[in-house]
Parts: sequence; structure tokens; C-alpha cells
Amino acid sequence: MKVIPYKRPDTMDDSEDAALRARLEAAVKRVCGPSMTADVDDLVQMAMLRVMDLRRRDPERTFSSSYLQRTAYSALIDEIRRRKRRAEESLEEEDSGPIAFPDLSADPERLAQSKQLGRMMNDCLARLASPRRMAVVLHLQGHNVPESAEILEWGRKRVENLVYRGLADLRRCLTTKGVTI
Amino acid sequence: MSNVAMQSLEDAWRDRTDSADEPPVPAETVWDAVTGKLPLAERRRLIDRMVRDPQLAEEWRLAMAVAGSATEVSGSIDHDTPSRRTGGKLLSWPRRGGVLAGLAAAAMVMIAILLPYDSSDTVVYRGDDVVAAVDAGEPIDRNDAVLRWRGPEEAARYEVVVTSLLLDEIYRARELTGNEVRIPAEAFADVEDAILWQVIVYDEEGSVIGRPTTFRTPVLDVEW
Repeated sequence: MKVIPYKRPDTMDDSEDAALRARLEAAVKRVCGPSMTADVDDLVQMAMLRVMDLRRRDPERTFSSSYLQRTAYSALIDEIRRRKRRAEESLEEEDSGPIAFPDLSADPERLAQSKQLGRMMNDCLARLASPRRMAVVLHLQGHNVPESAEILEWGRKRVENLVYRGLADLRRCLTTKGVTI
Repeated sequence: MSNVAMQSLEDAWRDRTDSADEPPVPAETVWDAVTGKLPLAERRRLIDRMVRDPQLAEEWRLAMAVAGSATEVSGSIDHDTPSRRTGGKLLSWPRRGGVLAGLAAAAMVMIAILLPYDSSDTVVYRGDDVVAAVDAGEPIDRNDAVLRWRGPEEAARYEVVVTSLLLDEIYRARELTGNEVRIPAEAFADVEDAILWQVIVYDEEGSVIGRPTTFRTPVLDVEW
């Protein structure tokens, strides 16, 4: 079998890889829980391997950075899901040891309250009119108004109003459930 | 809604763990939704699904972060209307003044409806000229909006009523002793191009002086 050595396209350089790696690391640290951030190096490495594999299989092709980001993201999600599944399966086995490292920094009481509030929010959000619900969901996700407007293909002012009114509805609904916001 | 309250909601939203009984959305689909490449209907379906699927919400946030679209902005919108926040002050107002102010505001609404303004004109309706607006025709920045006027010598306090061009009241300030008022940015949520505003003048005894003039001031578009 003839082995074709991996040839890095001219358009690729180490700085681009480093930037992608840094972006993945920052994303995992910012978004994922402690059980995942402890393994951030492994997770990012798995994602970067997928990118390298892509290049190796098609060495003549020049990949756009957005395509590489998509590939890396996909690999990252696959790996996170795999680890979560494994942790869940292990917990189901009686004789297995603890897999997920507990988050000792979290205040259990605060976390419990937050989860309860999260369930109430789900209830309340489900009752909102769809446009308001979508605008509020994107707001809670961290999107600003221009981003939400682009994703939903609505005008910025409309989105701004929907967020504003949707949050007011959410607050009213939570109040009826005994939550003071 | 305060930033602290908003933070609690965002924390609770992120702490949700109840899993959905649906197969996970393919990672590529999530990515395409966040980057706007997924068809609109599908994108909206995923947004709706995030309410019942915390895993999807987390993966969406991860895609935002990797794609570089994540804005760590929160609380960019203040979630209470100014009228709600200042609602308590209603009770502290002298009844007579309150009624007169209400009548004056109602008159402004009627006048504004009956007399269409010229978009190039600052003044929508001229009352008794008890107040002269300072630079009313100059556009104001919704993030740094200050209205200024000159009033009569006998003025003890002012009340400012601000409405959208659709005549929805967006802000009201009472018991002002100075000749300017700052309008909070969130008051402009429903405002597109311009505001109408009116200054009601009160003397020491709480009586309204003259008939107020209504001004029109353009509002600069939102800068993000």
C-alpha cells in the first residue's frame, strides 16, 4: 500500500490551527460544566484530530475556516455526548465507581433552587406566544438583538420588542408560581 | 428587570438538566442553525425545542462560542418599563396636579391626532409658549437622550410626558425642578423614528401654568 504523506495546503498555517484550538478551548471552558472542562485538553485534541484527518484524506483541497470550525465543533459534540453516555451508563451499574467528578465549587442549595426555577421557566416559556418565546430563548442563550434578528429573520426593533414583552410575560408567570424576580 | 434578576434567569436556564425524550439533534444541524445556514423554518423549530431540551441549548451555546458569535452581553435590555419603575410616585402627587397633568397629556394626544405634524418641524402643536424647547429639532441618541427646555419665571416644578409617534406614553417624569430630563434608553424600546414630548409647568401651589406646547424630536437609530 502506498502511503501518501500528509501535505498541508499552502493556505493553512500553524496560526490558524492554534486559533481554532484556542477557540475550542475557550468555548468548552465557557459553556460546559466542570466535569467536561476538567477534560478540556482531551476534548479539544479529539476535535483537532478530526480536522487533521479531514486534511489528510483530501490533501489537495483547501478548506475554509468556517468548514473546519464546523468539523471541529461536530467532533467536539460527538466526544462530549460519548463521555456523557459513558458516565450515565457507569452510574447505572451498581459496582461501578464514580465517573463524574463532583463540582465542589457549586453551592448545592443554589443549584437546586436554580434547577427548580429552570423547570418553572420551561413551564412559563411553553405558554408564551411562539414569537416571544423564540426571542426570549435566544436572549437567554446569550444572543444580542442583532444576532437574534438575523437568526429569526425579523427586524431588530421587532426582536427588541419581543424580548422586552416576552421577559415581562415570563416574569408575570413566574410571579404566579411564587417566584419573585 | 434588574441585571441580578436577569442573571438568575440565565443561570437557571443553564442549570436545567431534564433531558428530552427525543434523539439528539445532529451537531452539524445545530452549527448550521447558529451560523444561519439552516432553512428558517428548521432554525425556528430548533429554537422552540431548546425550551424542552437543555442539551440542545448547551450545544447551541457551544456552537455560538466556537463560531465566535457568542456575545457575553446580558441585560442589554432593561426589563422594566420606566412607568413601572416610577409607578410608586403616582401616589405622592397632589391630586389636583395629577388630574391636570392627565388632562394636559390627554389634550396633547388629541392635538397630535388632529394636527398632523410636518416632519421637518420641531413643534407639533404650539400652546401658550410657556416652555421653549432647546434644540428640539436636533436628533437625540436613544442611549444618551436628554431633553432641555426654558420655562417661565414662576415655574416651580415641571412634568415631562414623552410619547412615541403612535402616542404611546413611553416615559413620564414628575416633580422636576431643573430644566432638563434624561430619558432612559429602555424607554425607547417601542420608538422608531422620533418622539413627541411636552413639558407641563406647575407653580408653587401645584397649578398648571398655561397650555403646554408639544415638540417633536428625532431619535437616532440603535447602534450595536
